[in-house]
Amino acid sequence: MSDPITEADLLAYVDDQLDPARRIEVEEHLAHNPDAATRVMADLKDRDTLRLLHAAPLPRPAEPMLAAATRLERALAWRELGLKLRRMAAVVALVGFGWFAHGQVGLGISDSEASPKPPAFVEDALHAHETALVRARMVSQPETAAYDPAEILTETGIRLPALPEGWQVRDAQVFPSRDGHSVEIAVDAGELGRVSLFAAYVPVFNVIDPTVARSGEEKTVYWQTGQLAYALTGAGSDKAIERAAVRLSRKLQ
Amino acid sequence: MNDSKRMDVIGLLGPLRSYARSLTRDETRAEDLVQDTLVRAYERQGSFRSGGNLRGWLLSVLHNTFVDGRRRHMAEARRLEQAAVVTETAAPPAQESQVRFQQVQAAFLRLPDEQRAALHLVAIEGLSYQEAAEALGIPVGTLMSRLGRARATLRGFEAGTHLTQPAEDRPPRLRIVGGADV
Repeated sequence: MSDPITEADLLAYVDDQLDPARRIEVEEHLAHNPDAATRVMADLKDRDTLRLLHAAPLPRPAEPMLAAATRLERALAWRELGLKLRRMAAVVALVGFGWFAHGQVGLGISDSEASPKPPAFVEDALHAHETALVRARMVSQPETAAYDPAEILTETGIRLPALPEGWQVRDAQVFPSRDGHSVEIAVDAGELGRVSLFAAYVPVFNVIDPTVARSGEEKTVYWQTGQLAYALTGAGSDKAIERAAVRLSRKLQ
Repeated sequence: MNDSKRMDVIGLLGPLRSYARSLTRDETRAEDLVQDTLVRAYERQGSFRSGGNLRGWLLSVLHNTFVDGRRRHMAEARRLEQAAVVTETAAPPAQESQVRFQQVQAAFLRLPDEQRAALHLVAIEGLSYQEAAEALGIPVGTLMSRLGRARATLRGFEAGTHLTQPAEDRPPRLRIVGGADV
C-alpha cells in the first residue's frame, strides 16, 4: 500500500506539484472520497478562474518602466559576461600553469610506451594537440582560423611548411614552450581527420627524420631540422600520418 | 550565446505587473511598485546569483519592495473595502459564469496580503512551492499552510455567496460540502 493521502497531497495535486505516480494515487483516493473530490474540483475551478482573470493582456508598459527594465537587463547581462570572462581567465591561467609545471616536473606520457624515447618536444606536441581538441569543443574559446605563416615566422622565428591542398586550418595558437615559443595549428586534413601540426624551438641542434611515437589513440610523427622541431599528431593510421609528415618535412627544405 | 535571452527583464514585465496588481489591488500603485522594483533590482544586482532564476529573483525583489512600502503607509483597510466595492458594483448583470468570475476575484482580493501573495505565485504565476517560498522568504511549510487557508476561504466565500443568491441551476450539495470545510 502507498502512503496515506494527506491534506498537503491534495493541495499539491491542485497546484500540479506532484510526480505522476503520486498524482495517480491521489486520483485513486479521490475516486473513493466524493467529499474530497468535490473540494478538489472546487479548488481547481477557483485556480483556473484566477488564471483566466489574470490572463488578460496588460496595456503596454509606460516608457519609464521600459527604460528601467532595459537598464537592469543590460546591467545583468554585463555581470554575466564579466563572470564568464573571469572564468575564461582562470582556464587560461590553469593551462599556463600546466605548461610551466610540466616543464619543471616532466609530467606526461610514460617512458615505457615509446621506443626509441622521443625527444621532450613530442610531449609538448601531444599536450598542444589535446589543448586544441579542448578548445575545439569549448564554445567560449573561439578558434582562430586566420593562419599567416609569414607573420608567425616574423614574430616567433618558427618556419612553417605550406599546407597541402584541401587542408583547412581551424585554429592557430602560439604557446609558451621550454625554449621560447611554440606554434600549434589545428587542421582538418581531409581523410586524416583533425590533426595538429606543432612546431617549436629546441635548444639542441639535431637532424631527425620523421619518426613515429604513440600515446594511446594518438600518433605523433616528429622530425627536427636544426633547432626547429616539428610534430604532426592525429588519430589516423600510422602510414597516413607518416606520409603526410614526410611531405611536410620536404616542403621545409 | 543566449545571454540576452536569459536576462530578459522586459519579457518578465508581464508577470511582475500582474503580481503587483494582486498585491496592491490598484493599477496605479501596481505600476509604481514595478517601477520601484526595477530600480531596487538595479541597485541590488549583486544579490542575483549567476545562472539563477531571474523570474524568482525579480518576484522576490518586488515582494520585498511591496512589504517595505506597506509598512510606510498603512491605509490598507480602506483600500480593501474600496476594492471590494469596486469589483462588486462593476459586475455587469451577465451570465452566471461572469458573475462567478467577479465573485472569485473579489474573494481573492479580500484575502490577507500574505495569502494572496502565496496564491498568486503558485496558482497564477505557476511557480513551484520551492520557488514561491524563496520569493516570499518563508519555509515551504508556511507557504503551504497559507495556500490551504486561502483556498478554504475562496471555497467558503463561493459557497456563502451562493446562499444569498437565487442560484437557479446550481446543485445545492456543493454549498454544503464547501461550507462544511471552513
